[in-house]
Amino acid sequence: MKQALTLRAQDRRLGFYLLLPSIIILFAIIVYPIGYSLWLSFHNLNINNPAKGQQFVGLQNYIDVLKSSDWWMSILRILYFVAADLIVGISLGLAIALLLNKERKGKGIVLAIVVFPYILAPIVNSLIWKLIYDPNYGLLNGLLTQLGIIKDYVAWLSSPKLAMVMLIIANLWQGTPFSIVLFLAGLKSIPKEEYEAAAIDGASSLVSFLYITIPHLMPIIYMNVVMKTIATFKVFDIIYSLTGGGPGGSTTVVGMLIYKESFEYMKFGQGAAMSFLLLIIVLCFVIVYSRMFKEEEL
Amino acid sequence: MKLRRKDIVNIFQILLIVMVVLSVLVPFYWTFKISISPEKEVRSRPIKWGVSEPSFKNYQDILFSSSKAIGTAYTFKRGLINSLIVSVITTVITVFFGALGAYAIARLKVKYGNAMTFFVLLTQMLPPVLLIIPLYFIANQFKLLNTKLLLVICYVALNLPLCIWIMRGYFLTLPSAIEESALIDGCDRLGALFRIVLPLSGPALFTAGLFVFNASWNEFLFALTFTTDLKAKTMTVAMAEMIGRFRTDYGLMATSGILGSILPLVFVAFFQKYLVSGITGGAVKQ
Repeated sequence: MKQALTLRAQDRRLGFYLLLPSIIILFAIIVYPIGYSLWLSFHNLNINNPAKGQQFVGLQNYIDVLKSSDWWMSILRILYFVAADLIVGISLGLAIALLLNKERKGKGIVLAIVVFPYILAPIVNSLIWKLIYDPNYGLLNGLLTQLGIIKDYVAWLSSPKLAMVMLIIANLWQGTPFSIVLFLAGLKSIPKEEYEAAAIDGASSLVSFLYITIPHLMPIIYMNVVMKTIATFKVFDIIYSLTGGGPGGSTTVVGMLIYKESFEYMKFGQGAAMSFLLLIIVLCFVIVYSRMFKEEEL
Repeated sequence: MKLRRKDIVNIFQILLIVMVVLSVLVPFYWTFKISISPEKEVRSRPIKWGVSEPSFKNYQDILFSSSKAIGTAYTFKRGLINSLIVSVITTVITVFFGALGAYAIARLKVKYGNAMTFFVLLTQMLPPVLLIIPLYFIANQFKLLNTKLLLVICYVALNLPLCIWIMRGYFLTLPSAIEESALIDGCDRLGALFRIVLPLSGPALFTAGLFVFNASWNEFLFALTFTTDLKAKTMTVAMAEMIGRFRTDYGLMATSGILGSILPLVFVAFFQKYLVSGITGGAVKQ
């Protein structure tokens, strides 16, 4: 008995040492900087006038942000982006997963091709779409003209109305495989007997989709919604490289605004304040989702 | 012969699958086509779907560029090399410490082991600028700005939680009887970990490594802010510069995109099973 206890104590000590490197690096690179940012968000750094040093300004940075129309516009833009991404991305992901769910020849190759965009760098994704959207030599203009859909070439990324839609499409091209893979895993776990029983009772395929497939996939849909929301709120790479937030600020979503505020205008305090506000917004979404889906299960 | 309803549905589904596959392949084909087209054909109206005289000149220009001709091609080549160095070192360090940490949480009943779940979510949810601003100041103090070392440190921290998460899930599925018999035979815990558990964990280590490598290879925002010149600038930063340039050499740009996708392409072609298990495993178990 006593020996067992000392063994367990030894285990714990060893465990602590094994985990120590991870703890140190996570503390140094994640925990401490978060604290530092929190401190920054209550200060004014006076980059232009270093002699003044750091000045405690209380909640001023937060108030300034909440009062600025740039902030609220960037939030509206990202909400639009996230909503489109969720609705189109999840329906498309589910539809394609249903298509690929049946055993067919070449399923493995098709799946490999479909997954491919997901693991590309977002910057490569931008590059590919830059070549497609190019106003003079791009694939999209060329294709649509050949099909007779448009007569004149369109500058897809230079129109404030179109630019956002084009970015959403490019982002979906890369993001949808994630949903497909999740849904395929979910579909695999649904017991076949339930469909057979429903078929014997004379249920149509639409009925069994609505009453068997969808309820079984609820946890997967929930996960899709949460993960996609978290990822899409942060969208930055493709916007930075394709439109830089333009034209006329029409694609300056919140991630882009925070970056510009911090590293172009050197307003680090406000950048940090914005980041915390964004974190709170994303957290609220995650909490609301978990409530919504819990009730669904009951 | 009459077509039955089932056959029609089947043909329709296959057509849809072909469309899905094309929607992935055509953008990629277009990029590849431009990378091997002569300049004249890149700028043609109406567009050409094929290439009359394919040439790999752009690939040569990038891969065999030298420091004497400093330009876009050379910058990108150095970016590729920097990315490769940073990603390999990050992967080795992260998987090593990640496996140790995961073992501690899964088997040794360390207190607060569940805090790691929280970290996995936290690192995903945090707006990255929240880390980048302070790290910029700290790195400046330690003279680490514009070094590959700084990127490695940051990437290790960003990827550790997910790596620990994947490994922990795997260790929990290993029957503990294997280690216990080793312990009874006089092996200590550490010996059991290195001689028994880790050799059995090849697939999980590989999956975790694949994800860490890919994440480091693809990372942009940290590299953009922390690196300024050839010494540390990564592939993604060099590529973004090309995309953003007003007068861009499309052929060179497309070539850089293809070169940057070769490793991910290899991953998907050969290790699809691990990737899919990583995507679903990393997410489903939450």
